[in-house]
Amino acid sequence: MEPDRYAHLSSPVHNWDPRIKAVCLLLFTVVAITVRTLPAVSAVLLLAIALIAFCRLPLPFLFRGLKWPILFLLLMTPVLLLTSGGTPWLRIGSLILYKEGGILACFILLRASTLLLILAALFGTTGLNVLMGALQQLRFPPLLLMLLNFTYRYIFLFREDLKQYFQAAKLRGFSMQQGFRRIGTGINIMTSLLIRSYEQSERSLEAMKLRGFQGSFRSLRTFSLNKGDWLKGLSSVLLLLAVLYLEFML
Amino acid sequence: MMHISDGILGLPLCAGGFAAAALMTGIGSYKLEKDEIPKIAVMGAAFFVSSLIHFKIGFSSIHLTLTGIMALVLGYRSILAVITGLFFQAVMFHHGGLSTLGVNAVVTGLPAMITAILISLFLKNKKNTFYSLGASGAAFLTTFLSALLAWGILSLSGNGFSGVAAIFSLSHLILAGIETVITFFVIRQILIVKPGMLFVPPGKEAAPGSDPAPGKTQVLESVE
Repeated sequence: MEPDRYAHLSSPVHNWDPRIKAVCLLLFTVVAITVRTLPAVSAVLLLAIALIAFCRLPLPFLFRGLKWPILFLLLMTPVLLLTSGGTPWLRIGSLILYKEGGILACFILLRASTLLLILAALFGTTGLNVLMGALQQLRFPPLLLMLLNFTYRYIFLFREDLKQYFQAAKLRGFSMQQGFRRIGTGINIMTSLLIRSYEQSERSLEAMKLRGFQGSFRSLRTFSLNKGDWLKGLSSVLLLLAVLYLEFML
Repeated sequence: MMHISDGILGLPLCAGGFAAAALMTGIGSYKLEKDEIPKIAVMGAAFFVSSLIHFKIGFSSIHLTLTGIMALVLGYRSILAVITGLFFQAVMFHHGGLSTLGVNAVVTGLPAMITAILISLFLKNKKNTFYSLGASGAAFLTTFLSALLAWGILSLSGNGFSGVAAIFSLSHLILAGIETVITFFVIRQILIVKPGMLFVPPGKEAAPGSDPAPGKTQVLESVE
């Protein structure tokens, strides 16, 4: 649940200025969802793999993050093969597998893998609080930043609260197996969490007002750019332009 | 709830989704007081964590979206909590995606906003049981509209997605039924313990039974 667990490591991507990194990876995402030809899609995937290699993130961490989304997309493949229509490719009994469905499934898998790797590269190498500071300097809407900051802080707090509620319930013989009574206890726990969270929000607001909250946060974090940051940014943009050339010109 | 994952949609739909989500965010933040920001964020975190609770149904388990309850608590401002929730689901669990964040915000948030408006029009000053029934109807409507929107967007992606769109929508409909039942009981408890936490549009009267009766906090104490 902590995507930035390894943000403290050192690598060319970790040490990249977060502002330029965020912009370049956003451009990378846009290019990845724009390209529609197989050579261009393969090229962006290769670029994403190279990017992840430069991140030097632990492989088990990467596999854990990518496992379920890829599995879900693989489960979608038979549906696409059977329902896409078009040119029949294979017949299994009364079932017909369509060629267009297979191509679409491959295409989606390649593109989704690229986007997941980009996501891992951005959030795996930059702490979320650092990224929020970078987005603030990039003039990201301050309301959304404030909401993201607040929400992030309280997610972990409420997750611990939820664990305590279930622990307390288990000590009284509760288990989340099938049964209306137990579903009822789960509902009670959820309601308790929501009500206590609401009361927490009221207390948080009063505490913040007492500390001079005026409706906005000011980040004291500063960033500095060096030649390496600009070089990495320029290289990224040139590579993405090359992919777009591959897509539209060839 | 299943969100539309990264890689499924192309640039036009993703860009359109972000444009629509930006418009909805503008509406959701209209006349937003600074005092409301911590509440929206904290409740957004609470809904995010609550949606992680798995309910075992038969041989599978599901986790709820709670967008109906979110609409009742946060009103049309629920779009702000929806967007932050979707962002963290994409970042922490790779559930949904960042390129499809706009589209998923529309699929989840637009029905919540519509439901919030309908609730403020038809359910104000209603008694607890009627309000709870109305709330559970609202939860069904929210999930049903999400299913329709998801089906529409996937169908717009191309002919190859018709089967995926059908399965996606069917799973939402099954979820809608379950959310309806659970919302009834959750709202009923909230009305007993903390009715003031339900959304009141600016300029309207408070929710039914604003002051909880003395001694009605036993529900919370019995859990621990």
